[in-house]
Amino acid sequence: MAEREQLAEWLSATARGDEQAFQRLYAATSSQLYALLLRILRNPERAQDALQDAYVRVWQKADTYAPERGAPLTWLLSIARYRALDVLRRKRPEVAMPEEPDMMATLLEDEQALSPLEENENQQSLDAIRVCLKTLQPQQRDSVLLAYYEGLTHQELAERLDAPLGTVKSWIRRGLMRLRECLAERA
Amino acid sequence: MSESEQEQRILQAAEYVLGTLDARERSRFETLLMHDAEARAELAYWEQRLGALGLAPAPVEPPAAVWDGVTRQLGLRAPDRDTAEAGVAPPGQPAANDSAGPIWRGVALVASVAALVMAAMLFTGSTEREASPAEAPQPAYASVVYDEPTGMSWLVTAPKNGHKMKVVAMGDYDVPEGKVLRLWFKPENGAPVLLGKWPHTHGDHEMTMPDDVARSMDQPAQLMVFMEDAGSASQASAPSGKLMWTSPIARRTG
Repeated sequence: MAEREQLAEWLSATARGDEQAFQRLYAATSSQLYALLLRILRNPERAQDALQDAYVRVWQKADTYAPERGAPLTWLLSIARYRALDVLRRKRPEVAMPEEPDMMATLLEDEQALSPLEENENQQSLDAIRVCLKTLQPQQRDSVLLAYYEGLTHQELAERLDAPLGTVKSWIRRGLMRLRECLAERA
Repeated sequence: MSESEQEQRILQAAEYVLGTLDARERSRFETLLMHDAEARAELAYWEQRLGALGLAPAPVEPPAAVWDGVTRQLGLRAPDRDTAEAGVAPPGQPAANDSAGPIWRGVALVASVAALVMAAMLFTGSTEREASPAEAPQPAYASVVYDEPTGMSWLVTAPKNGHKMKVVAMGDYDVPEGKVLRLWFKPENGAPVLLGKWPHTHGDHEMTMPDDVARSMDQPAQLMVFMEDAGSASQASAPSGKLMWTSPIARRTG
């Protein structure tokens, strides 16, 4: 699979209007973006629409990618995830099948879950956040993971976790600050 | 900046990426991003760090229709044969049957500019006809919807203070069975409003604008045409399906 430099090169060429590079970028990365969108949206049709929107954005915004912004694949994943959040905000009343928080936690244990998409750098990034998430209190970790993989708002998290709104906000914020400290220590 | 302010910014950026901010908080943070480089750096930090979580799910190949939709929406041509044969076509993607010429970037933007130029020509043409008292009132609003791949276009005009929009289809456009084209009016700062079924057969057509749309015509807005399922609600509150074309609405200024 393409490495960071190759993806960055295709992104750069895409920014210049090189359609073949854009196609190569799509071929190399769309399966990872689609997997994330399926996980968040739980509906293939909506995930496919969001994926299409995401790559339209990629074509339009490729010139805003800069290597200092990090790995190309995580940049692409961010674009896809923002599309998914937009879809969820529009469809809010329609709630998909909930996933138990415990299942979220198992993601941290699943060392095989990392796709073969990219090698070392992404493996390290995922390892780092996995390790740091484990240092959070369980409710903090569940809140962050549910928000990330299901796009839940504070209010929805409060309902799902059966906790007062203020408490959930506090879990999220303390969790994120702890995550930041831990990631900085590992850097 | 105080420690608490800095912490506040870190959390705003993190929660913006996480998606837990409400609409007002998001908007406030987006404003901050425009003039605060540290906020942008913080955002990029969290996009990378939390973005790593997106690597965890095992990859799933999307259907080829998604790539088709991307190229169609952007007005790109099909990939060329060499690329397809080299094995770099998206999985499931049929090899292209034509050779690709140079493609320029930003087709949608170019089309929008072309639409405005053509809309201005509509105004001009109408002005030239003013000498004839029998002519209909000159249009106050105009827009051109243009399909880059086929060259098909639609000319849209509407008078001031009116509720009727005239749509002239310059040819026939194929709509797959079970699908329907629908026109949405999208104000710059508002939600899209459904105007109705978008005509796809050659000739003059008329569409009716509801009061709120007619009143909003002086504000910056776009026309958006979606390919939707024919069975989907014709009174839906939000577009569905694929966005096919967008075109700004030009307003007569003189």
